Amino acid sequence: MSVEPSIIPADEEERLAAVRRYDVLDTPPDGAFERVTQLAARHFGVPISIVSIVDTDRIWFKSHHGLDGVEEIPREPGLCASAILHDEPWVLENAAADPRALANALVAGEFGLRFYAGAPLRTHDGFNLGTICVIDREPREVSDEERETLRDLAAIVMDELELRLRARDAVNHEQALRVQAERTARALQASLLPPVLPDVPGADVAALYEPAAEDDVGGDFYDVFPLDGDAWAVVVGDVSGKGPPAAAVTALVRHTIRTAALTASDPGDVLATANRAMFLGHGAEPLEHHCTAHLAFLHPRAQGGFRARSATAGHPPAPMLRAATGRFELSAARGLPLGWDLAARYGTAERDLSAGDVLVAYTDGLSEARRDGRFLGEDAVREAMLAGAAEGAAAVVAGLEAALAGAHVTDDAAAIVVKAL
Amino acid sequence: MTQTRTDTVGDAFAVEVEQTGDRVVVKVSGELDMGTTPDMEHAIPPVARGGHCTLDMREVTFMDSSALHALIGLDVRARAEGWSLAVLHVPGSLVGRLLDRCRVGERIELLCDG
Repeated sequence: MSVEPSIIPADEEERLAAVRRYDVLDTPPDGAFERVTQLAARHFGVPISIVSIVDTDRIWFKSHHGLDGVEEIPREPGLCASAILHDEPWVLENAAADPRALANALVAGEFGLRFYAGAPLRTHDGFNLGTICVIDREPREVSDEERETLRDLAAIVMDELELRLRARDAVNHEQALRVQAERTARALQASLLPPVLPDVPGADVAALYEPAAEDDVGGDFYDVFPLDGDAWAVVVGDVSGKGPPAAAVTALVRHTIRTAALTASDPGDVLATANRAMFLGHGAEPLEHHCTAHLAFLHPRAQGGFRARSATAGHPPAPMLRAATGRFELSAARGLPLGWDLAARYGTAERDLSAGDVLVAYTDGLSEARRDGRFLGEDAVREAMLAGAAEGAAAVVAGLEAALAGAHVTDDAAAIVVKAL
Repeated sequence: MTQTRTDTVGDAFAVEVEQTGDRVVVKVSGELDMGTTPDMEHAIPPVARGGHCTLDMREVTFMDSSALHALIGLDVRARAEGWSLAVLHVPGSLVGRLLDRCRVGERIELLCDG
């Protein structure tokens, strides 16, 4: 439906955007606006008062006192459409004798409108959304004081609309923050879930991850990722405490290790960096959470197998099972848990992982699970290694899972098994 | 002052505290895990600035990471409050190996004999 161009304001596009912004069109009747139209009708002594919003091709009534059953009219015959063209109250004291309104259907037709006075509802940024108007079937004069009152009533309506807009913006803002927080929490949680293990050339790698509580991320983590060149990093860690604060520390440590490992040539230096990262923002102040971790760099050797260079921060030693001798070796690396001493340094221990050798890095949730009141201990880890080594890393993990299945587990348990091929 | 608590599984856990002036000796025995570690922490009394606390862990048969974190917390507290802390242990025991692998000796005085 086209609308007579003469009643379209010059800034119509922006004005309609403002109408949309206040989001008032087609909202249910509302006491605040009803009171204003009642007050206007009573004050002017007229039968009809309307708060209207001028939409693209219609005039929609937010409140209509004395005009039951009419919710909106086309924009074409609307006197309000003319009223919003002006910044001052627009008045027809005797429409029957006013050339501006002779053609108007409300004036010429059955309705018999004779008096109209409308003040624009003007936004703080200068757009006329609609009007508050008073209407009578008799001609009427309007004093300056009454024009002033109409302006004040329009201002009251606008105050109400602005207030609602601000309240809605605040709710939307809060909602957006909540959505953002939920998204962040989900992203954090997703980043803490055990990663899909990459294919490490020359190695058979499998992992175990059993959180003590399904919905409480935090605690243990593991990671396997490529370093520059053809080397790989394997990390297992255990953050003290539970819940989101512990989870945040887990994310910090894991990602710091990933980042630092890209530039540092020494796993001990990487752990030192992760340790310092935990103190960021704390100075040398003590921390609420600590972390034990075992980090190994695996460098492929020309003759097959790997040179394993490892560092540890308060973590259980990673046993290695030698295929050639059937004997176990423990890493000699030692170090303070991360987050205890800002100045902590971590040494790197080196050993060879030859074809068939199996290395297991695990968290103490595994060895500290109890079976018949006794701890599984390192023995359970060694048993699983002995039983599964020939078959492969997955078989060792299956052995560890079987040991846990029959045990009382109180803490998260995680392990990475690497077998050199 | 003696507190004794018996776990449903594992060795009986107990804490004994002896206080003479500004010197405190806390003797812990049994298993230190998530369930019993808080009991040890709560049993340790305030130590005066300049005072000394010896944590006797020679009869601790097991300690897990929660006990390690409690030890870290105790070291932090001692430094903040200006008293000294020493841990008595048996080298080579389960506790001794854990203290060794975590280099606890870099932060807390480790004693091998009463």
